[in-house]
Amino acid sequence: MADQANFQDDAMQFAPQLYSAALRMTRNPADAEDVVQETFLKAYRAYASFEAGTNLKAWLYRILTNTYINRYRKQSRRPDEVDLGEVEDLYLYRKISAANTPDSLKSAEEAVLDGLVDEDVKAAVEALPERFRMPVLLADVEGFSYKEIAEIMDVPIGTVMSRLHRGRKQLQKALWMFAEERGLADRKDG
Amino acid sequence: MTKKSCDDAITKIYGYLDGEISPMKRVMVRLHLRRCSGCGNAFSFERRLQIVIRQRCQEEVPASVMAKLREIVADEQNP
Repeated sequence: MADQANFQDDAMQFAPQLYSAALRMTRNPADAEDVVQETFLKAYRAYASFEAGTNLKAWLYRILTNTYINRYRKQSRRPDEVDLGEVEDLYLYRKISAANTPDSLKSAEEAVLDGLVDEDVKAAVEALPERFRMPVLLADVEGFSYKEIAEIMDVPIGTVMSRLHRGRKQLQKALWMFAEERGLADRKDG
Repeated sequence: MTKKSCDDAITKIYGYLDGEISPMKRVMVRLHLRRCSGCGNAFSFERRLQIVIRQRCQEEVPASVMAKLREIVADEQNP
């Protein structure tokens, strides 16, 4: 059992990360703030049921995820469920390779990785449909294991893996569009 | 490298990069990467891309948001 008196000391360190994740989920600062506030309120009230010494970060993300889903499920239920079509593995790498000669490939890789700015990457993550966005966010930005993500999202681990895989491919497709738009990928002529 | 051994390695790429495959599979992937520069390069790109994604998605949390969270918890503790 965790002591509510320690909540501030134990949990507040995770607030910046939870806020970042909430921003990627809700896609706007006012909603992100609301979701994080509700998360902290619920977490505080439930803190006595948290088993001290277990994974507090994952526990907080589980509350955050549920709070977000309960609040926004109505708006986001169906528009996400469009068929995205298949995207090949290593999409971004293959696109960069195809746009370059063996000699220019290295510098093109660097140009893309250096040249994609924060706004590009954030927009690409936020463009993912919710069921792909959550596992990508939890794995690639927050660094959770597949097992932790399965617990946070309350889905089987196989579902986490397949959505993460598809989500990453979609993310790479979006990143490629930004890379092309910025003229980063083609280094054939210097 | 044979197409098949490359395909095998590529199907394990995320398990490998995420640290989510068995030690034995890990060794097999590593051996392939040592012998196959094409896959080695692709894996290295994916690894760097993961780092880029993580770094570029960080946010500054506004001081007002932190203050409000502390206030919410304090209000609960001392109603």
